[in-house]
Amino acid sequence: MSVRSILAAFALVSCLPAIAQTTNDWQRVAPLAQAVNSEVVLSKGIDITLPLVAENGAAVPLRVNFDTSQLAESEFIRSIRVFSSGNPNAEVIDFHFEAPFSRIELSTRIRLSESQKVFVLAESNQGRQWLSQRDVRVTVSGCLMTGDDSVDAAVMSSPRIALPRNARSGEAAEVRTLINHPMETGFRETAAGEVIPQQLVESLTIKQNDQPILLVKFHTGTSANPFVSAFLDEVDNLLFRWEDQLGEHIEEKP
Amino acid sequence: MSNKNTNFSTSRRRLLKGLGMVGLLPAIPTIAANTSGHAGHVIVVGGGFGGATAAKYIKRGNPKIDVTLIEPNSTFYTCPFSNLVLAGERSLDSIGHSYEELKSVFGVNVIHAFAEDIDGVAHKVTLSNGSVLSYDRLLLSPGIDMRWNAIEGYDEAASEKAPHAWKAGNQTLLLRKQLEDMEDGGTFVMSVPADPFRCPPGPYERASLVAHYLKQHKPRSKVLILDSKDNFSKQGLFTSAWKDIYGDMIEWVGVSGDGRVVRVDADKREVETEFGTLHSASALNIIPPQKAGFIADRAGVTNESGWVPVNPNTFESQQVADIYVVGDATLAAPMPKSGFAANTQGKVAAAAIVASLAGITAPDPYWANTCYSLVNPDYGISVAGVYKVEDNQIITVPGSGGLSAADASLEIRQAEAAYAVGWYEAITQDTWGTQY
Amino acid sequence: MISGYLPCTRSTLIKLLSSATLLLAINAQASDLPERQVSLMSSSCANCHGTDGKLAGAIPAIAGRPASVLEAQLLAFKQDLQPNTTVMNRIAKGYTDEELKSLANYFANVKRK
Repeated sequence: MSVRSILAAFALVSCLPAIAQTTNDWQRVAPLAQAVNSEVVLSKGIDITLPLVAENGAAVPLRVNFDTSQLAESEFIRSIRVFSSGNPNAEVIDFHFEAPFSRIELSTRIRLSESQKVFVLAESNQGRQWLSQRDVRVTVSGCLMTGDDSVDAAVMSSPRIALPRNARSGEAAEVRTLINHPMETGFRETAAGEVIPQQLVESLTIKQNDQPILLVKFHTGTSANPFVSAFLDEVDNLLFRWEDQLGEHIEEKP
Repeated sequence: MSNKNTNFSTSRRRLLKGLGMVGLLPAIPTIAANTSGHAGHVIVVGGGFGGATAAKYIKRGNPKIDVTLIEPNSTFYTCPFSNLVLAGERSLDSIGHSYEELKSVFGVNVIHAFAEDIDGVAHKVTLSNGSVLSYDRLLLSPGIDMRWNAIEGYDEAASEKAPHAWKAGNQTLLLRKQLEDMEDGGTFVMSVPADPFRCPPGPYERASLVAHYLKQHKPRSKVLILDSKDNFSKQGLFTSAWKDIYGDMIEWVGVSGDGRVVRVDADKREVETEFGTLHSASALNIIPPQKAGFIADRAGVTNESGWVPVNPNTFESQQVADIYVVGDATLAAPMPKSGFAANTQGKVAAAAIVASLAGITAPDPYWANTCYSLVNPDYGISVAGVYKVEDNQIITVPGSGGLSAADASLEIRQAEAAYAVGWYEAITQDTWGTQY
Repeated sequence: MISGYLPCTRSTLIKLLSSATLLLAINAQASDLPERQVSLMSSSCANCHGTDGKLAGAIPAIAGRPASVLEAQLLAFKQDLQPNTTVMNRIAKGYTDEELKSLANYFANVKRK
């Protein structure tokens, strides 16, 4: 999907009055406010890497690190969820950990319809929650205009998996994966003014020895051709399974 | 010369004042009339589009300001039109520009040395020839440096074997040699970084002009673009023109098609992408990720992104007072990292420096940009924009700018190719020269 | 957000101001923009038309041409009334009518050679 088309997609709703944003405005982001259920939300421990200025709102690289050294014994991270303050739908991407991960470092690419805040909410198996946020300014650089407004078929294809070339046992290693799919938001119109229906890849499940270890939920805020990288403690016997909104699925082994 | 100008201006000013048209005078060094003797010393580091323009326009704004330009090379080779050199359509000499007119006509003091260090507190610049210069205002136009080893195996030594050619000159010739030595039926492989980088449409113009050369001399060859992003500048225009002109000679692979190069073996001319695909090249062009030129780091004006945040009204550093930074090194989006943008930023910073030394407020900034790309020497496309400041940020003036029409006639494409040449002559004259 | 609601506020305001100016000073062609402001605005034009608009080549010189001709031409570009335009229509849309008038006056007053 092109820069222009994603911006055009969001333009449908961007003329709604913006809710005034302040520094502690996470409560105004409804799905985030709902997700925060602990009395005390901790702020230290999440490191968000995002460009200060994103020249292409259709695919903004995001990395989230969580400092696991502050977890108690037998405490581990259950979920990392990403929200946005300015997208038409605040939900961006969710990671659910089905097993303890020694290293929490996740990368993906997200959509930002305009300059806004990105929130990351982490939750442990003991119910503790952490919240962090970053401002991103979104511009469309003059020379970046693409003039491409094509509509791609909403089917999953070409799943790809990259395992580390020199993984050392006992050390978490980066696994990258990508599947081709346009991730239609349902906010976009054709040149003729017809709304293109929503078509998303809903989820990616990574299994190890037939047991799910990581479940990733994609939303409208996830970029086309969803990309995920995570650090896994073991990289043997993995299986990747993607499911889309039509009920189709693809399975792939590295 | 400057005296003559002033006299001429003054008399013309008087004449026009009589006619009630005093507000219309072009390019009058008005501030010069209000100052006497030493009006301040400005050091400009970097003699490219941003720095050379700023040096000239500071002198035009107030000839009494002493301007010293620090630039290691006596000839500056422009990145714009270097793709024509690569394709054998122009000589390297034709894109080289000297500093003679800045010296002789505008009275800019040019020192050919490297600026090695900057002390923003003491207002001092240390040069590679050992001298230390003091300034009242400093303007940096540092351009870009490559992020060596951001791609595994791609360091400065590797760039001799797999040239980036993203600074024009010897690198351009190295890549030209690989293209000339390439066998018919070979593959020219180019790796393109993610945004932001110098000249967003540049890689795609390069692919076009390389294909133009191959089509004539080695028609069974291919151009493979391995890209770290899924969208690129003027994509629709390039893609349809490629198909029309070059058939399937040019193949583009975006990041979602496994186009991101993560490892380079310059000796074997081989690259590996993110998901493990190996590509062998007959000629290998690696355009690596970039950052602001190193002197910006030494001056303490870069932030964690590796680029330079500036006050949009004046292009003064947000981090160090009295240092102005223009061109590719700055965070100026939505303005692109282009020679055109650097030139207009140089003029805004020059006006701000002249005003600041005279103790008056800077005029409101205006910038424009037009990026021409040649799909072949007779087929031009462009993207344009007009920019201003709103809420302390640079914005594209709503309704302005945009791309060449997708359905334009061949005559229009030819006209844009001719205008691209006209643009090159004009901007290099405006930046380094005086001859009309 | 505000500019999204009212994209024309600034230009409309300047149009109102400029017509008021015309009424007050019918003979004066001067714009209300200060000289060094127009000078800086005009400097972007040099990138294609040469310093002070004096370079004549593939791209026409604009220095020293009558202000009324230049202004009419710029307005025609802005309103897409000029056929076979390449880039000037996209650029002219970045300026208010008042700013285009100032630019036309500026270049009209540059002497060629």
